[in-house]
Amino acid sequence: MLALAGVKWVVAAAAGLSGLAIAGLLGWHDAVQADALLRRVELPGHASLFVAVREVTRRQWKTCAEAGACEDLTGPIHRNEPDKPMTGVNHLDVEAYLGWINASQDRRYRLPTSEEWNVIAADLPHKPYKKLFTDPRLAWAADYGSMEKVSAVVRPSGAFGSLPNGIADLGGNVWEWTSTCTSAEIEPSNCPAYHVEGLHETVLSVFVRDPASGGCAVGAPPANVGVRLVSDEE
Amino acid sequence: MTSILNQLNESRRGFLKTTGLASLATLAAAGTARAAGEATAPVAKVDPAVAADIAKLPRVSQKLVDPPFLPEHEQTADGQPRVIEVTLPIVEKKIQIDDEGTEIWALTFNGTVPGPMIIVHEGDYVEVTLQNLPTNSMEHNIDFHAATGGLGGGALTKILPGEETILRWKAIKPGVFVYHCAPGDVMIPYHVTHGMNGAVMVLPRDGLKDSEGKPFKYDRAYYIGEQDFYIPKDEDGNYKKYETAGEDLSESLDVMRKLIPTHEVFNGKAGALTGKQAMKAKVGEAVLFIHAQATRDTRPHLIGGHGDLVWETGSFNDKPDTNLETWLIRGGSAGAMAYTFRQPGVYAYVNHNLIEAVLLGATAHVVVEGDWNDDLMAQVKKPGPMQAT
Repeated sequence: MLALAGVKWVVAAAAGLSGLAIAGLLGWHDAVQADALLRRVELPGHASLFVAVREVTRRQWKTCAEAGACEDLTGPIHRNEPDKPMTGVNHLDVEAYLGWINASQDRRYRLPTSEEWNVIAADLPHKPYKKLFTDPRLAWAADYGSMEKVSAVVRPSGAFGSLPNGIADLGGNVWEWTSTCTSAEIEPSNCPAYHVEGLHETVLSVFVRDPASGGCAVGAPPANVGVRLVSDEE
Repeated sequence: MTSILNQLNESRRGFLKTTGLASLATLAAAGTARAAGEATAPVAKVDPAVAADIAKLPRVSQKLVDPPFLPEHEQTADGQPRVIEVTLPIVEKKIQIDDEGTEIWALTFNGTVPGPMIIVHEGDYVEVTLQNLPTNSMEHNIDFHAATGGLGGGALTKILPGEETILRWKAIKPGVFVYHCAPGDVMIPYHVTHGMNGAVMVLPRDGLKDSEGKPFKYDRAYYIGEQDFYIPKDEDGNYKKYETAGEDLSESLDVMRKLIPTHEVFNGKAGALTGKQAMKAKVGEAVLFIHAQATRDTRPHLIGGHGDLVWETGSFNDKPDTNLETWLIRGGSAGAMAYTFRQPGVYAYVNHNLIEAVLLGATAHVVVEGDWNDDLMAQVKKPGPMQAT
């Protein structure tokens, strides 16, 4: 237990957190506190955003489920299972998680907007690709095949490495929900679908937990969908 | 394929060693009585008159290719029937069947799921050398739905690891047909649902005909083998993995018995014919799609296109149906559809049980080049707010 707490300390220290946040981590099995692994990311216009280094994990989700605030979607988590990002959650699940975490501690968390996510992930390498069609009438098919297939096997948190800003797994196989509705015209409470960010940007219905390819959808679906929290508070 | 060929050579050497044959040349020179050998390779008895007639025919070796492609072939046949020689090594191998890492110990013809397409013309003879690699662990055989008698050849082709056998059958029915392994009892559905099936196309000697009886030529052709898999799960609900082929037998049978596949895929893997591996065509090209399902009904549909000519039952002696939206491929059969693309873009070729297409994997894509035709379709108003009425 001590050793594990020590590991957390090192991670937190490397992440450049405030003394307060690190102190919070010492109760290591309090999964909620691990959300406090935040790093400052500068936004255009001198604003700062505090971004979770890792996506919400299965163990963190389980804590929410055990508190009765989230649906129990993790299945069994074995003792020796490494921390892995929570996947298979829809926007409604994520709203429940946010409601719970914000009620259970002082810091207020939220999802990043699509624009914020792209600032956070600005250093992700962008592979240029040739559009399949240049005719604007074929814009719906022009990006087909541009996305490399990725394995959907969920790997331990941190397995995909970090960007120079310290934020991990942005280029991994878990896409992340944002708070950006597909249409600015729609009342936020009625938004039917949100932008989801990852190796490519897509839009998913608020109900979808496990995007699949096929049928009329000819794009590459996200391999998995999870959630990364941000906060406006230092 | 190289590794299979190497294994094949190994297997050949092993075979020659055990049978005491001097060289491969001896084997080839044995002609119609090629199964010549000592006690371990009994001589097969063939009517000498039939053997003599067939010995006069030209022999051609067909180079098999991996699906969804077809071996090189002519659409019409010139001259007399031929003996088409094919070698089908049987390979037991672990494959991944989706992007989530789900595996199966596949039982394959030639190392692929589905097995390779064999193409001949009506009246030709198919001479198959079936080889059970010494690295395999099970008995295998082959039942050709296109063949006549002997349980489709299944009764005459049972071989153990390290053995080979040669079967010759005459293609008397033009059409597309399934072939599969059928080694007996529960092993029949077990082998077929582990990938051990493929297709044969027997073309009429004067080629395909459209619904009015006029000659029809295709510009390219694809072969889609649809496979249902039944993967057992562990107590946590995760798909189980096994160390060796056959280890999953009893648990697989338990899943199969419920008749609900965990995966229904084209070309052995969900997404195998999408993205960079999507099929390709051009506007104006007539494309023949051959669709085989060895055990379960399916209903192909080309989203954005139609079945111009559909040989739903697979028989080329029957007039094709025209302009179908969706057609049925009965489990245990193959069918053919031809479509001339009229619009560029991306088409989805699906099993139109959309649950199977989207959730189980039965979706392929066709990327079509060419010029958009506004007469056939146009976006008159882009999506936007509804106008007050």
